[in-house]
Amino acid sequence: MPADVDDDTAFEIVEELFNTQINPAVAQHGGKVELIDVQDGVVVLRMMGGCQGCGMANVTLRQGIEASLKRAVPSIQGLKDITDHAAGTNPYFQAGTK
Amino acid sequence: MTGRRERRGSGGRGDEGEDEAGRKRLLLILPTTTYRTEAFVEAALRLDVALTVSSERDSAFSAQEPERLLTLDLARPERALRQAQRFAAATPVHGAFGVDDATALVAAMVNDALGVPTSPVHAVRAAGDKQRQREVLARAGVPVPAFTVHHMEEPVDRVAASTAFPCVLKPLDLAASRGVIRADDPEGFRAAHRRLRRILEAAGRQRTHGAPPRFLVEAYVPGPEFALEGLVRDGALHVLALFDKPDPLEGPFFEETIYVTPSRVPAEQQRALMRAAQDAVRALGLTRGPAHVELRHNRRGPWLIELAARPIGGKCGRVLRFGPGGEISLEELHLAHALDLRHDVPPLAPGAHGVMMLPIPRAGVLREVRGTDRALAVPGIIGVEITMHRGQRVVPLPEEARYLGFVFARAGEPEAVEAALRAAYDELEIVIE
Repeated sequence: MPADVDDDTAFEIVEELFNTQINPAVAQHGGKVELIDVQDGVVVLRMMGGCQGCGMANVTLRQGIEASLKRAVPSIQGLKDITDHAAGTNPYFQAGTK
Repeated sequence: MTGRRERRGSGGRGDEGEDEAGRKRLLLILPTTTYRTEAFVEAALRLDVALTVSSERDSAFSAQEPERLLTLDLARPERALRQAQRFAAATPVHGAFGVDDATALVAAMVNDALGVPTSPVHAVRAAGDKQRQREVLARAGVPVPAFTVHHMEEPVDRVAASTAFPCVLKPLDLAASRGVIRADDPEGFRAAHRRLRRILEAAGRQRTHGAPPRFLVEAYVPGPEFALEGLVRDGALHVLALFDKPDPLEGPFFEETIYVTPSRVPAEQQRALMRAAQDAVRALGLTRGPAHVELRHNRRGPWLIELAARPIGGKCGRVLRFGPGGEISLEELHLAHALDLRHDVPPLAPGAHGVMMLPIPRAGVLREVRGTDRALAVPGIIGVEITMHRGQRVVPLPEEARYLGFVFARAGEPEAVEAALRAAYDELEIVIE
């Protein structure tokens, strides 16, 4: 995989990963992740379904999605999650204890 | 070439088990129900440690990222320990950290097994056991409310007849004030007992290993309540923050609302509270890690109500920032100490800090929380987070123990923080049908 790519090329690689790895994985929890854009190496995404408002969404982002993307495109600088998690109505994991 | 690189073994890691970048690995143990996932994960990433997140349920990426995601049977600590040991044999771990009572115990067991400095497992276990904790503290002379322990099938009239009033019924097996009810006389005791029975049934706690659930009957201690957030190192309790709870907690239910630090009570009273917390830490045998302590104070002095070997709950930790510019979060501080990345305890950021846990006013279905923009516009308010989602069934204390959300404030003085929190709450319109 290329170490350093422009945003358009990164978008294509990331989109393929979303289709083949990321979304099949989160679908197990009723979730879906939409790729919005790649801007200056930052992947902009939105979480939906079971991921939206999920108490473990940050773990999915950091330990799952970001790890996969950086392995495929090392020049990825990070993720920007634009999800309105407060509007999630069916989160897979619900925070609710101290 | 560094010494670390020279020590690399065949597995591509150093003898001390750092990852390829030379980073220590943290096993962060989070129940899927915690409010604190993001705060702790982001803190770990800011510390630039290799991170493995462990929960009781599989992540969507568990199969793809086995070094980063680990499933542990948190309901069975001994089994969780074996699972963690198997993981650590292949992926060296430099420290484990648990964010709540149950995971703190598993983390202590893992650290102990791995030879990582930790509080003794028996001390963390005692801290997480309401009955054992009270027995240890009372024996050590730490001022705790008088208490007795009963099971739900004892004749209620007999228990009530042997009880001094006012008292507080507390289930041993529920958390966060759920099922905690004050009773002022035998009739109130019977009513509280009936209600507690229904709560335990709803929580699936009818019997454990064939035995009926147990509950504490504790003397009600009048007086204002405080929360102390601390960090224990070498058995010494470093007080990170002492919070006033300006709303009286007099029952019949004990719903947490506003926390404000620094405390406004006289310095001598603060010192007495801190001494009681230190005495409790010592009595339990805790030597390392977080301590969250609930205390009261009245004309007889401080009272230790509850101690937990974990950080403050909910999202309340967000208001605690350390260092002159507030550049260090509470979570970073705890994780850095857990991995021995720092040994100092920086002071709380200047100013006053507060949080309000938003109570659930009545049962129903949450339709909307209006006015969050107006609440955010109140001077001193730095955040409003609604943690329950629209369409969710909401149930107030004592049947459930969740919050609608949290409001955070910062200002020059505690009075301004409290006023800002109350003004922000007044702006919120909670629509429940």
